[in-house]
Amino acid sequence: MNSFAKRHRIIIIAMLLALFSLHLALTDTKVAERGFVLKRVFSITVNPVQNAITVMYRGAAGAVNNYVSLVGVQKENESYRDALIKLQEENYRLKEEVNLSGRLKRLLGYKQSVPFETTSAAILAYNMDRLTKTAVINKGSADGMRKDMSVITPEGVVGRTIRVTGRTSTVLLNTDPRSNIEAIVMRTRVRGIVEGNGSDGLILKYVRELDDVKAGDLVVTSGFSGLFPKGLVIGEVTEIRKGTDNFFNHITVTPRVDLKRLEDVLVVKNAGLPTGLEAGARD
Amino acid sequence: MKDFLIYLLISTAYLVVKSTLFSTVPLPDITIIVAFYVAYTRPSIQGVILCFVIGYIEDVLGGGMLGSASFSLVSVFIAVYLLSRKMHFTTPAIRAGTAAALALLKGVILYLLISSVNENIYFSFRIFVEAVITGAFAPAVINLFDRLGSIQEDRVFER
Repeated sequence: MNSFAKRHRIIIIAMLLALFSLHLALTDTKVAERGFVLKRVFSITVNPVQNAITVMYRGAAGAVNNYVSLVGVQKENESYRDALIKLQEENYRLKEEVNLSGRLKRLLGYKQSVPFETTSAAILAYNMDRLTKTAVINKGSADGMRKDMSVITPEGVVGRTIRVTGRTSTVLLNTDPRSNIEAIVMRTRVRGIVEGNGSDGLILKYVRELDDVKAGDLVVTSGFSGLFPKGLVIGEVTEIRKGTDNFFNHITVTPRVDLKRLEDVLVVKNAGLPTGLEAGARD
Repeated sequence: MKDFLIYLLISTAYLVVKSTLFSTVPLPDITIIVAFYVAYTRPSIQGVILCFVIGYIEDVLGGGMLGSASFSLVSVFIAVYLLSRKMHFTTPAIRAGTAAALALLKGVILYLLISSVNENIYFSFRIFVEAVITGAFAPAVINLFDRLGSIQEDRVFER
């Protein structure tokens, strides 16, 4: 018996670790905060590296844009080239500033127009790996972030925070299969649950075949769960098929927000009550 | 032990770079290649633990289901360990094919685990793309690991 264990110790330990991992994965519920120590360590060590890489990459991309196209210009044109480089550099910088200013202006305008308290955040990293869709933002518990806060943009819903560390938070994007949002079809007020399909799309579930839903209908948050404010656009119905159970339709929804191009987002700090109402309630 | 720490560092660096610079681009799955390489060339308890730790880091950094990547990487280790008793992964073609199959295995495992949360998810086409890319890059990456290993052996020998 002892020699058997000794001979197969690698396989036995591998099996035990596999079972332990499986247990972790299948019980990865919202009740217990797992991997806290490692997350904490990463928030101190890896997240600043991610931040630095993102900043350097954006800087390098700007520099490459500025100079690559001008390589190989003749010597006699050097003076023109210098002037051109300076002008182009300034042009790109101004364009980037206008771009940034426009983005922030839109975000600020939206922030001021919504009746709930929000805070802006920048995206540091993405994970668009196979079936998991998450993003890391540069706000954490030190900035008042908590788990299950909704993340939005003026275009619509982005996702919700699932892990919060000191300086960063992980956002579960809508398209992740673990995401589910209570939703209604804007035109007919039909209710359902929007879930990620693991690819780039969403599925509107629990809508009966007899319910009135058409392609092109906008799907918005219902606000019932208290997680997301009511009326935020999630996406647009693009395909309706009969479900295999002959009762519910299989509805494909295309997200309104282009999750791959996001740079700045707003995090809703109190989705339940509008700021004014909450202030009134306190008074 | 030092070898394993180097593979751990390489994998962590890969995961960080992947989540920042190449988040939307399908990349070869270096973690799979590390698991494959370690299971084939250094089958040991440290190797199993390395696969588990890399998977755990992948889950923590990527925001995936905690334990899903570690389960898939340990499964990859077991598969390669058992296969290596029957066959040798010596030619680039076999290495490429095996790495692609293992990347597919990892994708299927992740798909099945996430299906337990949401049964309506699609089997992403990206799983096939990443498997092919992983397979295509595997011989070159394994060659690099071999060289890394031989450099370390030379240093030990010099001492």
